[in-house]
Amino acid sequence: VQFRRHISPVASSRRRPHQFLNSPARRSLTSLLAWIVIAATVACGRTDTAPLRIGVVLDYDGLRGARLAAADVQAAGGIGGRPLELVVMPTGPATTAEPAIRAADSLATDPRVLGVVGHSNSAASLAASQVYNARGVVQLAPTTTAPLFGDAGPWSFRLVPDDRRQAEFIVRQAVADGARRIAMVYVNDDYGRALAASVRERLRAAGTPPVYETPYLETAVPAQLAASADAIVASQPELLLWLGRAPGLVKVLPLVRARIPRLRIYGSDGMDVSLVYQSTRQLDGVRFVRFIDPAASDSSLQRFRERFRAENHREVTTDAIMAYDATMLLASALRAGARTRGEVRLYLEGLDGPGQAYRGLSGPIVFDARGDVARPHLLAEVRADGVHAVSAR
Amino acid sequence: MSLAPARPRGASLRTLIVGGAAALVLSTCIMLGGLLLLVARMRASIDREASVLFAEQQSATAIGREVERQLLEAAAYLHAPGPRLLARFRERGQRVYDLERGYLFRDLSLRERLQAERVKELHQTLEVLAQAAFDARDAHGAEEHAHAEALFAASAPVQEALDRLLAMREESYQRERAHQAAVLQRLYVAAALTAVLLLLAILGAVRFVNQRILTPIGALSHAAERVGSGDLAVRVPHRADDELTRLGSSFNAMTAGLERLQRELRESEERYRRVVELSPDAIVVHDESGIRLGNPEAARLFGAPSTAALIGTPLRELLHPDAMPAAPEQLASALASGVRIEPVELTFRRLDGALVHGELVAAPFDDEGQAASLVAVRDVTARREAESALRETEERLRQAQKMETVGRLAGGIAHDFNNLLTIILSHCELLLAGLHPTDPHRGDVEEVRAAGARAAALTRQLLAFSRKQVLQLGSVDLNEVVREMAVWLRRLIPSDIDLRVELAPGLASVEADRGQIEQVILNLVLNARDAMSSGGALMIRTARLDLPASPRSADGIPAGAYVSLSVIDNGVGMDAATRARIFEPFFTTKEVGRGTGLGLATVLGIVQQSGGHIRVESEPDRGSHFEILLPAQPAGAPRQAPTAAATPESTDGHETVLLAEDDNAVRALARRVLTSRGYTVIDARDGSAAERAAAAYDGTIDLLVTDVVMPGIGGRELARRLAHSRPAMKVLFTSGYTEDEILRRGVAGQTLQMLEKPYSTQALLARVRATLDGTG
Repeated sequence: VQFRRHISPVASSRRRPHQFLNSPARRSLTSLLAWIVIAATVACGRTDTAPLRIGVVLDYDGLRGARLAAADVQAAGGIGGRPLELVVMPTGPATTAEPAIRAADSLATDPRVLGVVGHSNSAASLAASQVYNARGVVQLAPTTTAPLFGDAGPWSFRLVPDDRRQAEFIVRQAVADGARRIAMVYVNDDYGRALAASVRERLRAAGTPPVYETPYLETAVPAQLAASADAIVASQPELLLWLGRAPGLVKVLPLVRARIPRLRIYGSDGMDVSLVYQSTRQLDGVRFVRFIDPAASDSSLQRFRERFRAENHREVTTDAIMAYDATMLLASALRAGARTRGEVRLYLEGLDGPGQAYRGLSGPIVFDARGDVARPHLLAEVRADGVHAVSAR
Repeated sequence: MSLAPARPRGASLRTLIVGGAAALVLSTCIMLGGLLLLVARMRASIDREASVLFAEQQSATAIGREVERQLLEAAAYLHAPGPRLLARFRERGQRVYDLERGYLFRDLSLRERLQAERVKELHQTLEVLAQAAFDARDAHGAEEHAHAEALFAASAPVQEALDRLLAMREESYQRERAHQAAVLQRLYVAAALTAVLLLLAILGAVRFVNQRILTPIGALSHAAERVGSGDLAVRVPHRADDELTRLGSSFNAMTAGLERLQRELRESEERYRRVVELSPDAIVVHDESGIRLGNPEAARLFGAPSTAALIGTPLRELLHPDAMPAAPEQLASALASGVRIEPVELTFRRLDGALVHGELVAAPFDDEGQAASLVAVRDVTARREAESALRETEERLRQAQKMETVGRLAGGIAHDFNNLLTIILSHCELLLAGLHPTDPHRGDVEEVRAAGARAAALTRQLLAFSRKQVLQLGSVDLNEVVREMAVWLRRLIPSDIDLRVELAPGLASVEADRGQIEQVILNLVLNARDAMSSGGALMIRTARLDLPASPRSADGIPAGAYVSLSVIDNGVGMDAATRARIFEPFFTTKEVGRGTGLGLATVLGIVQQSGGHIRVESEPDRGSHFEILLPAQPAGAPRQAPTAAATPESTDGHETVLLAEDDNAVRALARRVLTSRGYTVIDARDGSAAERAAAAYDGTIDLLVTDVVMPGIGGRELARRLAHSRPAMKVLFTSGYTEDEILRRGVAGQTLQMLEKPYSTQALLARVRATLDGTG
């Protein structure tokens, strides 16, 4: 029985990409590998046009963003003349780990898959991370924020910080909003439980312990949600912290607002999905945490937003942008010459400082010792005409 | 380099091989030990896994217990809500979640991981259902059975899933354990097979080493021992083409080489032995015990019957005590300690008592670790004797040179003396002839003439010992001379001296000047008389002596037939120092006034000028023996008595005489004397003038009277030149001294006529007349 090795700052000796590619040992290894590849290609009687494969285990907007990235790579001539192929695996129900584990097992078993972008949520990413670390496959999770993911192993990376900082951020916003009676609803999985624990601790520290808290499941039936709504209302909260995803809130919120019209609602980053953009009237006034402002003036982001909207007929989300960046980042590793899973990992580990940052749509990507990317939390508000950025406090 | 310790090396090699085999066995044991350690570690791993499983079981039990307690808390809350119950419910839920998270980082199979996730999800559902029940309870003020039943219904799958997970883990554990047990079993078998194979390999290796290495090495060792014992004919058998066989071949080549080297060494030793044995020098090895080794020359030199007779004899015992009075002990010490001794000449007393001279040189010699000396002694006896003879010869040469010098001096003096004496004596005669017999001055003149005569005798004696006098050689019978002299010699010796004469009958004659021989006998007898002041016996003895041919003659007298004339006395005798100087001119042991010191010098000069030799034997108080050896004339040789100049009846003449004389006074005197008797005299002051005068004179020159020694052309050359133009001219030489050996020794029996200076007027006239008449 072995526990997975945790990455420590010392153990995580991240190489810079050019060092990795230019060091004598690496050059020798690369040359050796190149000769092996050439020999294998000649032996097989084929030219070196085989596609380079990246696994994708995302849903909805995330999958769309990954595909846009693959299309951009193809449009740019592929990687060294070789096409980039996305091996898309189904995500299954968001609250069960089995599809994620099976997808991870499938991808890890395929030696042609050099890296994986996924999974869609923290629970799935965390469950699948042990498969990837056991098999030595880079897992680049676009939006996984569960703190435990940072301990998953050296093969696991993510493009966002963990939830301990989100908890601090969201509690600060709630308290600054003048709320003294705060109710908390969290999705009862690895994501929601960890975030709820951090938020609970912060609320208590701020002198405003939650007046009511309750877990919920994404698979909850309306009756169950109604009971929860009743309980929330019964606690007479001034502010509701929704530490879960949008669909549940869309179901609960009308029941609560009907009785507490002035209830302020702050959602966690799990809210940042297309449903929000499609349900602005139901969620009017709801504020939530996100890592990117899709409407920011960055030209690249604007072009991507327009393109996403044109191709998908919906507003771009954080999931899509992060998935795009994650896919492009793995493609960048392949473009830099990585042809093995280990080389992909070394490439990502090399992004360990501002000078080595990969500049994506979401901003510069630099991994810390735990494989996390530090980036600021933003606050958005849903209004009838759409989602708008609001100033955080 | 010694070849002896072959056996110990073989033994150590065997030990080495056995040690190597032991090391292999030990290595095998270590390997097996490592294998067993690995097995132990595997067993420990199984044990650890078992403990992990046990911990998991405990963890699962804890999860189940906490779930049960959560349900109890939930039940209590539904019965009687309270915040504490709710808090405890959530704390236990968090504890369950933390326990479930423990599975996250375990090495689980896919099924186990799915099952673990299922446990977690079921528990999450259970919690949500509990919260729903709580909310319903809070909302309605009473427990809703539907929620409670749903809650408890949901708890059963959690426990089932948990049990299922545990069963999976148990199954994995058992499977792993079975796998490891199978691996262990295979390891045991492999270890046993490996051990057996290794042991077989070791046995095979030992057998191989024994057959292919140890046995050949043993044979090699045995052969080496035989070589060490001197059997160089031994060879190692060839069996296979391997390194040891090649080593054996090399060994055989080595023994063959050794055999050849030994033969060469023997030959070399024989050569060196012969060098030592045939060495002309005596070679010995000498240590503190004496001579340890010697060559035949050493035995010969030291008079030993064999080299073995020398062994143990210290060299110092062979040293003559007089040779190095202080050295024997030092020499013995040096020879015993082995130090270098530079060449030193020593006198040894041979074992037979004879003395030999040897030059000794020594060098340190390590005789098998013992300090010794290598001593070489060269016999230099002959050299010493030769050197002694050479010294004597040199002494004689020195004496001869001295005599030559004295002779030259005497000759030079005699030449002028004789001219002066000729003038003095001739003028005395002229004066006496002119004086009346009663003239009172006649006595004075006669004294002058007597003094001149003594001066002339002294001059002759000088010339005699310097062997420059003119001899009147003839065949002389020494017996006759002695017999005649004995009559008047008795009157010269005191009556207490018994003069005896012992003459050998039939004695050969010798070629000599009788007068000079008489002088010799006289001088020797007078010396003997002076040595016998207290009387004694004096013997004059003649004998014939045949000296054999000898390479080494102590007195340097060549071999041949001699006539011996001995004068023997039993007087005071002489010591060696006196004996060495008796022939030196003016050396005398007599008191002042009794001897001139020229007697024996004159004897030696006469004898040597006569071709003879003198031997002297004398010891203090034991008398002296002077022996004169003159070459014997061959038997039948005509005995020619020296021609005595006949005194002519008349010395007058009318012939023409060419007179060559460089001394003006003598020339004037001779001219006066000859002219006074009727001769026509043509005088010349030297040879050249005489030659010119002869050439200028048209008449007959009947006689050439010429001095022998003149400046420019001498008398002999002048006579030779004039003989061509005037072959009938007779020649009369005059001389007080001449270097001309022919003139000195060749007068006798020759046509050459010689008139010694100083001569009297009568002698001159008589010889001129006799020469002209052919009777001279």
